[in-house]
Amino acid sequence: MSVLGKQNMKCALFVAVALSLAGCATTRDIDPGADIHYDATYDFSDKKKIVDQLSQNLLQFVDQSNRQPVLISYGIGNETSEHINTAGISDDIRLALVKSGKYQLINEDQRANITTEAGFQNTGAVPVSQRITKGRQLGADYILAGTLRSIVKKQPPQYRLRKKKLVHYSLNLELTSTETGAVSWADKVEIARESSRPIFGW
Amino acid sequence: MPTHHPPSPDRRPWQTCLNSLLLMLLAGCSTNPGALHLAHHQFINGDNNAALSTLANIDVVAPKDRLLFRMEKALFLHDAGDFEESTRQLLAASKYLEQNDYISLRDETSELLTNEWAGRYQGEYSEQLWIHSYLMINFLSQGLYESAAVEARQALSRIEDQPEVLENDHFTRALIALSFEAAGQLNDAYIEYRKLVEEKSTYGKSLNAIMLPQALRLGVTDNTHNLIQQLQDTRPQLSVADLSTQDYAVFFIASGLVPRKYSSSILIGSSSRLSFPQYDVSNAEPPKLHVTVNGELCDCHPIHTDLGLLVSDSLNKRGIKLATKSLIRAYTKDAVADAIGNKEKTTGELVRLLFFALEEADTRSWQSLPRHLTLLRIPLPKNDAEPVIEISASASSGSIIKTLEPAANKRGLQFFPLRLISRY
Repeated sequence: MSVLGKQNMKCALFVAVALSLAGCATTRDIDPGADIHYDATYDFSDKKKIVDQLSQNLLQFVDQSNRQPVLISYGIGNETSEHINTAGISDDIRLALVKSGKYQLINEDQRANITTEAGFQNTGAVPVSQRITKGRQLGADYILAGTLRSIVKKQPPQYRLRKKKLVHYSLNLELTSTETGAVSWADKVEIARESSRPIFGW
Repeated sequence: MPTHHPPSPDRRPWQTCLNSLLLMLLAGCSTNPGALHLAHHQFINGDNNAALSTLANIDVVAPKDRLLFRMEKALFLHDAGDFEESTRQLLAASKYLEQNDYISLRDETSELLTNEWAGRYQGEYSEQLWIHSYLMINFLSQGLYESAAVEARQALSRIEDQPEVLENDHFTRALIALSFEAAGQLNDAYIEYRKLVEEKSTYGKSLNAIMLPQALRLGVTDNTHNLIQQLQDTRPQLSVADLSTQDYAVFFIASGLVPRKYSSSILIGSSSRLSFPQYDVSNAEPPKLHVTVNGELCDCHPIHTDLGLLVSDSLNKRGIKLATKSLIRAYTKDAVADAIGNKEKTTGELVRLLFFALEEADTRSWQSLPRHLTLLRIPLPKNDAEPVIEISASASSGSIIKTLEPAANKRGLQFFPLRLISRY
């Protein structure tokens, strides 16, 4: 094989390897606790930070009745400029509270299903001894509710090579007594982040 | 034995240059607005299903026209009442804008030797805003009020970017306030309503009655007394207690068809020209609405936006940028044609002719938008579970009568998107 031929072979091999490497899809596991952000918008790491901080603080709350308080979660309102599923935050806070054993949580989402199931059991298909006893649902001592808000500030137009954006998130969480209507506990978590992206691209 | 003659050093660079040029021209001409035009014609001829099947797959348009594809398809779906799929398309359009919010060097280079058609279509400022307007309408119509409020914030951000033009979109601004109101975010709603009334006092006729219960609830004392006074002057029979429990039917009325962009040219010498897009916006009155509730004339005050004027203003706002680009393009084309002509006169003239023919303004636009958008808020009579609303509308584009019966016993706000008047 001529020198030129060998060189062409090497070149073709190099191109083939480079192309196959470039074309390979990769996946890797990452630490769910790691702080990873691709841009300034709300992400998984933010949710984790919010949930950890608020649930820890909420567990410090001492109910004066000396019994396991009953909570119902009415969810977290989204008042940001992003379509964020805040049910993820309230579900995780609820999970932390249940795991702690300090609270009893009412599952409001399952109320309609419970009614359906109770109705079925009372049709006569279920033995009397196994039927749901009416009037034994828990009454909530507290309502857990909150609001996620954001303030976005964009850098004003000027001669520059990168565009900067500041985003400030705050989540307020409150525990309201159903007896008195008083806010028995409240806390908030704030996250502020700056991101920038180039003005030019291909 | 065949002999290989390398190209003469004189010719090779020009051939390469010419080849590159042809490739760029081909790239610039590879747009296929055919599918979009066809779908638009099917839509305005009332065949929405055909329009939707023409745009069934995004591959029918070039990648640089994907925003147009999303916007047009979303509007067809919205008109067909498929709010969920329309929302999906509009959210994709919104994401496209966010991801393409940079100056593309590839676009700028190809546009320099061809025309603006070679670049990605990014939408006029007003079109970018209307993506959020239609998202708000879709979300409100589906009862997803929190999502409508999210879009309201994004729309406010767009208005903040180009206030000179977009603050005149009173329909969208009222829609923003309404989205906040529906989501129970009264503070934001009140602020937006108040800004509207302060800018145009005649809106007070319809908005004061909405603002007063909000002001009382929020404890905004500085304006409460003023609002009560104004309401007592115009509607003495109204009680504040009644206002806070008032139910409304809200109509989003689209009428007519937005004007089309066309290409204008200015000749520079005998071989060069500048082209720029323009709108021919003739005067068009918003539809005259005659509304009755249970046969009684409604004292309703609609809020209109003329989309034709606004989209034309948006284009004018880019005027200096477009003119500068056009001038640079003309200069570059001349320089390239001269350089080629200096080496090979005939090729140079051919290139000049090609450049001349290619100088065409980018007339892409969101074609299927209506000419006017109207927000009409009708107070529903109390103690009447099934009120009958009749809206008759007349405009230069035709007239129509709609009879509607809002859902029985539904409290608060009910939303009805309507295309009242023919699209022709």
